[in-house]
Amino acid sequence: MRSSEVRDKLIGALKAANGRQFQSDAAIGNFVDNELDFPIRATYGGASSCVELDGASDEYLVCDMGSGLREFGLDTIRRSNEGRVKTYNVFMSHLHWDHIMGFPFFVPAFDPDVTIRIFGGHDTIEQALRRQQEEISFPVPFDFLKARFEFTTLVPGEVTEVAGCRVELIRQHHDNDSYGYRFSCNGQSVVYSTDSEHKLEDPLAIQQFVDFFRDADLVIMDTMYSLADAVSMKADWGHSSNVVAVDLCHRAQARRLVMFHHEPIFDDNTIRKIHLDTIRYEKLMRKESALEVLCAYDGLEVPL
Amino acid sequence: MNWTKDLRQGNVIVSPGEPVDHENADDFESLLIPSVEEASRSGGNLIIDFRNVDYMTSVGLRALMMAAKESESTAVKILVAGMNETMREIFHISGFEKLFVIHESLESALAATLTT
Repeated sequence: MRSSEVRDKLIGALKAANGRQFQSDAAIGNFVDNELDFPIRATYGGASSCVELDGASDEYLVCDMGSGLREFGLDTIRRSNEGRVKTYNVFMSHLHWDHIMGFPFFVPAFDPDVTIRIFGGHDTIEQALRRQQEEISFPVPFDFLKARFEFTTLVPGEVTEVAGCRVELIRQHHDNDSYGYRFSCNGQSVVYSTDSEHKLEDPLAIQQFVDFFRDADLVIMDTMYSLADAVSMKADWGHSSNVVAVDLCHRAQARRLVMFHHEPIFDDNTIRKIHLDTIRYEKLMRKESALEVLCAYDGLEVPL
Repeated sequence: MNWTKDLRQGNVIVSPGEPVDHENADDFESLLIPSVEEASRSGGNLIIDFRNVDYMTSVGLRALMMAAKESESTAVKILVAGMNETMREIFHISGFEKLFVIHESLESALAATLTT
């Protein structure tokens, strides 16, 4: 975030306060939390894809190794020091750079007591990670890492049990393919589906995703473009839209949608507007039970 | 799907009679695309009168985009008219309001074709 954006947020907050006096830090916190709109009080951030599923197991479960992995890794060092099992189960959507760029900065990989199991639909995950560590790109080669690594190639349609969760994957339309995951743990289900373009002219393919999302408690889905862009100038760019996300979740009767993988050129105000538009679209199109529409930001936690 | 077609002042006017979603989007597209060719043959434009369409999901919007692409190789312009407030909001949220010329009513769309 640029300094000018921070300045704009401060101006917005002070304008909203309108000279009001606060008696305590708690009162200020209450004002910030409850009276300021998200783009004034916070930011969506800019980390690339990395999502943790917490609470299903003593082991860690995480989707993708984008730049958010660095902060995740540091936080898990703290948690592991408090007794958490030092085993990481990582599920890769695909191997484009924004989804692996956090790995060189993943500090637990230097710990000899750590096990890192990496799962994905691609059989080139190890190659991609090793290549990223090569000297021309990074000073620490892969073989210098001390953790124990296991790589497993998963097959769409097959169910894998990992750390107490039933894991299924689906192949997605993206350059060199990507994979979405459905995790069923403790009676709840979470879908992670990013970098996935939905070809609306293919009703069978759409139905496969409706089935994959069916009754999910949470769907984390790529909503990078507007529908107009996704079906015109950005067709075949491998991403989806907020409108398609709501349509799929409605048909699947999912309970919650998290809008994910924001267009990097959008500022906080733009993302907030898209979020509000998406909430409105959901309400307009709702036929059965409501779909709660959330918008991802760095550090968002969604209790199930 | 319920659908009417008319020819007025050389313009092809199509009027879907129900919401467009995954149940009927294929029908909508297969009726819509030939209408572009018909408008081209008659030397007019294509007006889509949405007065009887309560809403449209992404698959219906995509069909509109296909019609727009079909028209690119012709002189046909596609005008949409008669949208209710929900349809207007859907066009706004999806970004489609930037892709199509929107008129309040069929009559205003027809009037616009006379001035172009």
